[in-house]
Amino acid sequence: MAWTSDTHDASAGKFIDVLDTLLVAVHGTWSVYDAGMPANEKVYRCYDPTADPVVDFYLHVQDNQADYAKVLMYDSWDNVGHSYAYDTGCKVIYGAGGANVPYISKQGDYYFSSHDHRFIYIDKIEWEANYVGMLEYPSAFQRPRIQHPVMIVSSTAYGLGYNPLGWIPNSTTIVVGRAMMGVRGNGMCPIRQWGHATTYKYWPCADGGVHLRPTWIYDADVLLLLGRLRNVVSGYSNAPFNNDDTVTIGGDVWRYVEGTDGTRYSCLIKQE
Amino acid sequence: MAYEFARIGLAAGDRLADLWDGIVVSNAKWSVFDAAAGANAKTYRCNDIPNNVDFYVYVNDNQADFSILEIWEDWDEVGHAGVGDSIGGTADKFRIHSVNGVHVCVSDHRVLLGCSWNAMGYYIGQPIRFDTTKNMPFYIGGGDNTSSFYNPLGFFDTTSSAPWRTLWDHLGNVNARIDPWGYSSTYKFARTCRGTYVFEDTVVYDYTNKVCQGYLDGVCHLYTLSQGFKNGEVITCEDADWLILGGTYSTKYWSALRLQ
Repeated sequence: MAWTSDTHDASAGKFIDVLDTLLVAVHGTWSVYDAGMPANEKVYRCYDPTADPVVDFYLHVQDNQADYAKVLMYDSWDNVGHSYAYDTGCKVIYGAGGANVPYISKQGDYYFSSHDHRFIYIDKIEWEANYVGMLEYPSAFQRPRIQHPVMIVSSTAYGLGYNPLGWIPNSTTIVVGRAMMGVRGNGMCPIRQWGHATTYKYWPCADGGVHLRPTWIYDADVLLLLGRLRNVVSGYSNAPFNNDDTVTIGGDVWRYVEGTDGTRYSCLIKQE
Repeated sequence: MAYEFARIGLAAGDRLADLWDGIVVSNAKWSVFDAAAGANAKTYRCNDIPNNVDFYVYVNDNQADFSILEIWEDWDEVGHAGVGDSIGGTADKFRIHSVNGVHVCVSDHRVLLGCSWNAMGYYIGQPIRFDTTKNMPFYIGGGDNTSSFYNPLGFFDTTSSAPWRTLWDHLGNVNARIDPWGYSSTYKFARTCRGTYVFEDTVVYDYTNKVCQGYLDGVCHLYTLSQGFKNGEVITCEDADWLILGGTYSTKYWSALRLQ
């Protein structure tokens, strides 16, 4: 696990540079699976056969334009034919509609949180926090039998400053919120957060501290919990702080993000 | 902490004998403070000064089936009357039913009750406070409804059917309204894709200032989302049994109570 604060310009290839440097070079579970793609495109694999459940998913990153990268998730990949190997439907290639492709804004300054099974990229121009990969399970009692990697990222309207991790579900051109596979084995599964859309998620406490409880995510088709966001608390439109504020609890620093849109969809992310 | 299921008589005074004297005061932090507070009425004290807990519960049990409660800042055991700030009583009719037995959970700082007959849950006492320098006894229980039983621990504050009140909030405001975190969201899912459940102690905030006061000790507020729940079922989650209550009103307001 690592937390990085850095900057790059908005040109093509810069998001891939981040993944190569801060994810693949650091975590043995992440690798470049298909380097034979067109310029500024790569396919990454997150594979951990020792995890329970086994983690194995692929990210097709198209970073051949300025300002944003397209990130598509699949359950298999053919690195000879350079395409989706077996179309089981278990993928994330759009959000609310076919044109709402998963985008991650990468316009300049950023934070990056890496982990064996997920990453978070925060674009500090739009103040959008994007979550890609596995949820976590506090105990084996709650752990699913199969993997449900998720994508909670922006879409084509990435320039409007809606923070995906403050909002969570699919929303028009704004946010993509899906699991690669739902409880029934269905692909492109819509997801939501526990207490979806309520504004009554208050964090400040009577002792001057902040109450943080990582957010549970559920399969919006069958309404069963899939797992928790790893060290992310989503606040919906409850917005008690300002972008880039920090909260320190028990020695851990949590970074606040709410986007630049006026509605302020907020989240706190532990710096790890 | 202690849990037991208690059969409790229905006549006036039976709740004093069977519930409060019979069970609650077995905890050293709880005691009978005024045994002559009125006809079939007693006042109990929850006293743990080192932990900034001190409040009085006046129990009027002079009618069948239920008690009417008041929580007081202090009590005059000579004049048999409350002193200082209070919540509850005849104005709000804080009613605690006990028909057909009650699940009773007693800890040093709170009493948690689940009534079998009307599937109502009640909470009397402190939350697990964020600011432990503050004495903030809660009352979450039945209101003046006698037939439409909204489960208080699955609902949120209304003055008539399910008051959620604290004698003092963290700022010292008297009779302050409190509410469950997430409030009336109907998306409080608890069932996992493994078929197990996640019940987490609910955080409570004060309605006026939106500041979290503490966790309800052993209560998960689920509002109207049934998820297949049935009144009275007990679900085992890892190391604890949780009692499901939804009230008997046509709309069920669900909660899970940890039986410890």
